Amino acid sequence: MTGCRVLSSKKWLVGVFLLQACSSESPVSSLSSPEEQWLSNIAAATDTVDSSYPPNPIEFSTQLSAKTSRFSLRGIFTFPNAAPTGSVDQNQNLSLVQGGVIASLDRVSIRQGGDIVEKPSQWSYEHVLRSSILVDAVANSALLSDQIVSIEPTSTVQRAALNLAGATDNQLWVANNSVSIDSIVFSPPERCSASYQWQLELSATLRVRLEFLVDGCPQVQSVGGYSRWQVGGLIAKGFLDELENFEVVSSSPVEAKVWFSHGWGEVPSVGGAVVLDTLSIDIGQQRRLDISRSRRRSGRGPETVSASLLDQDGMSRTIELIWKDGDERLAATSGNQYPSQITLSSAEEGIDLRVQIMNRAIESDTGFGNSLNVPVVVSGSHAGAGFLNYVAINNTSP
Amino acid sequence: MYKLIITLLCVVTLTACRDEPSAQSEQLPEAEVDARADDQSGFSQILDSPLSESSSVKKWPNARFSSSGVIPEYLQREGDVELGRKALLEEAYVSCGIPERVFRQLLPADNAPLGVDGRHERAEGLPYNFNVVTNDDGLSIVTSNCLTCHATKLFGELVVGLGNEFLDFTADASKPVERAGALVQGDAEIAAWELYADRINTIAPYIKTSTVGVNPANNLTFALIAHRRANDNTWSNQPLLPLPPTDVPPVSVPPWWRMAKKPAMFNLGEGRRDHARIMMAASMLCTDSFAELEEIDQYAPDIRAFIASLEPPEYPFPVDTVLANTGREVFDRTCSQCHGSYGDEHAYPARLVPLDVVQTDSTLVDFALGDGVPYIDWFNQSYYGQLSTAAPGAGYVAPPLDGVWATAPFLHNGSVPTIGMLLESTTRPRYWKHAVSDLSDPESYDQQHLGWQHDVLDSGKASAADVAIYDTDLPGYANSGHRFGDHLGDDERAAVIEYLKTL
Repeated sequence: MTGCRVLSSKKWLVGVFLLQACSSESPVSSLSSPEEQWLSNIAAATDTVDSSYPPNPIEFSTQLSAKTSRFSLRGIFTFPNAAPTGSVDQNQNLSLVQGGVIASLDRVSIRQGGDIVEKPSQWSYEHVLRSSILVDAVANSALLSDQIVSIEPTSTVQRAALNLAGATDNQLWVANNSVSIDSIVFSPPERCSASYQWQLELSATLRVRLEFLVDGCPQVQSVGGYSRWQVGGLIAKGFLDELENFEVVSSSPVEAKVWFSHGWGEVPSVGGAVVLDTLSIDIGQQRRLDISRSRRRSGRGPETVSASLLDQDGMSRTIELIWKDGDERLAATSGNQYPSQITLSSAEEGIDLRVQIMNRAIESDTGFGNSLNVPVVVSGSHAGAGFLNYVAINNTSP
Repeated sequence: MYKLIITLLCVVTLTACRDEPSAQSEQLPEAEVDARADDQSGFSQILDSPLSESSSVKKWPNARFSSSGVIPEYLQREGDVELGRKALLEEAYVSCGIPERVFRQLLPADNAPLGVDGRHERAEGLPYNFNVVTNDDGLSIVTSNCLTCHATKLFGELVVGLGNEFLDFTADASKPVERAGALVQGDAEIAAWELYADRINTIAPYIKTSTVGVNPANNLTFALIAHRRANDNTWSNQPLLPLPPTDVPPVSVPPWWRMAKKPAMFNLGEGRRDHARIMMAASMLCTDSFAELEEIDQYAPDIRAFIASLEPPEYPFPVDTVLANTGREVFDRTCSQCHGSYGDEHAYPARLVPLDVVQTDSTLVDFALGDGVPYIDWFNQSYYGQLSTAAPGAGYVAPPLDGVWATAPFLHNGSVPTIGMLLESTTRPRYWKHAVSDLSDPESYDQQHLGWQHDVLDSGKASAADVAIYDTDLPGYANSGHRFGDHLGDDERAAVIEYLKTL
């Protein structure tokens, strides 16, 4: 790899980042605060680095500590002024153009209950439904970390842990080490255009920063009191930073494609007679499978599976898919049973996947009953990783 | 999901709505099957010719079938038009559905659905094709009504009676209903939803079409019959008759406003005698007893009367009256012996045209007179058969053409996009699809050929898995036959088209 250099190698980071065309890296900022650095670098990327895109390939081979990942997302999230409840429900799948998925923010859901809360700092723990991050290595698609905000009914502690109490207006820090959102604006939902900044700290020495623009207002789809828009194929540009002592010592431009959605409104309670399992998997080549399965609590009736395949341009199409739970079961501490493996198949699409659950310990109650919220790895016709939400039917009934 | 739920709820009212009933003038005794309809007097020579041995059409025994010829009129039970409209839009002739609380959660909050005026307050905010009723548990549920298939938003206005040729039955009908079950809460809601979901799951494989816009009404009816006992109308989870094919034959939805002229409701001349009773088959999804049927029968004649009172929409674009008058002469000379005459002294012959004469796709005939016989027998032995008769013939009824300009695509299977193509068979596309998804834009109407804008394609479903493609190579989808306009000159054809705008 002539002309490239190793960006980082730490004792807990067994990885090598080889960059070509290193001359395209942006100057290291000397600004005092990380926020200023971030904004400055984004501005630099927008103003001066465009000519360097697309960047040269990055070879990425690393294993990162799960404990150090930190993600932040900044953008404008609008809520209807008069809505008794509201939610931000966004998910995105971000891949570096140079390789496989480097990270995927699965979902951030925030619910505002009861009276209108004007300041996010007034939100309480029960308003946060779920957030999760899946970080996935480029080279081998190994799962590196996942962070799930599992909300426990200890309001005071949780609010402190979420930094809610200290949050400023239009700023919500969901978790102590995982997700932040700011610029939550209570305004008509027609306000869609915004620039979103995305930052993932993979480790103490490696960070990805990206920015993408949603230009205009995509078509809004509504179900009940819940509305949502989605855009795909967005180009995000930013930097891969090497850090030392939390200071940027080197930055290289990177580019990614983004799918992004934003929803708001009332999220109805689900799970009465039917539960919905969801599975989202990156299967390489910047493609993603989004699957949901319905099962009746009574055990009667059919299971139905809906699956869509998102291509690298963010275009989605429905496919026929068979979901089959493996026979081997995992027992959560609650006594609920979950399959340890799932198979997915579609002869027409050439899909034959084995889905392996990565972490059997994580069971949570998101308000819709107990469920297993776990990262998964897939093998078979495609290699990749994803995230499973598998709802327990035994012992849970809303 | 809202659209999926709508489609799902819609399917349940298809059974009796697949063609229009008529208001007639002759009272029939409650007798058996209709050999009396075999009146071929007055039929032209070509139409009177019996099925030949060389015909591809089999000869079936006459006991339970009709033969070709003029279909006699029957005196219908009287009904009140206004009460009929009210019943159509408020009553529980479909007695199962989604709990209202759940259904309203699925409606778009910021985009009010198209409603219909003049019904009770409970239905406020509901789309025109849904009724809100109370079930036996006292729970408010939303059920579909006949307007799902028999009304269309045309250039911004809801036209009751215009068949919806843009509905999508290509998806698995069970999915959206199953998923709606995630929203139900409590025993009453769960019970109501589960009844509906179970029935939908039963019929779902038999109503999944391969193409958007075509209607699975025939197959739906057969699937429901297969699960019911003729003697008491009770439901059986296990099929009691062979189930219909999952390769669903397509049907076009004819307009209701023609019912005042038609003595037989359906394409093959079946659906005779009391039309109100036949229409009650719309309740076949969940009405499980004679007692329930008797309740519906109290207002069914009113609904029939309302349907018979409908008038077609006027052609909204300019008409060349001189050319139209020329076209009338050509029409009367060429078309009227089957399709009738119009104007002050109108007449409709109600002819069942033999299949070897009309030569359109034979799939419906082959099935109805072959593997479909058990369903015919079931109907005639059931509560419905007490006053009405299912007696298909080996051909297709030539329909009246009132408002034909609005009813594209044409033929019983909707295989021909325009009247121009219908009158010149060599121009019919082998593969095509609609260029629009609804009829909101007047620009989408082809004033020259009378039909909706469409795209002619080079290949069919064999090379592209696109549910929007109408592929005439598929079984039941053929655009063959009805070549009666081929001999016309271009000027004559244009004149006939101009005249048809005035009907």
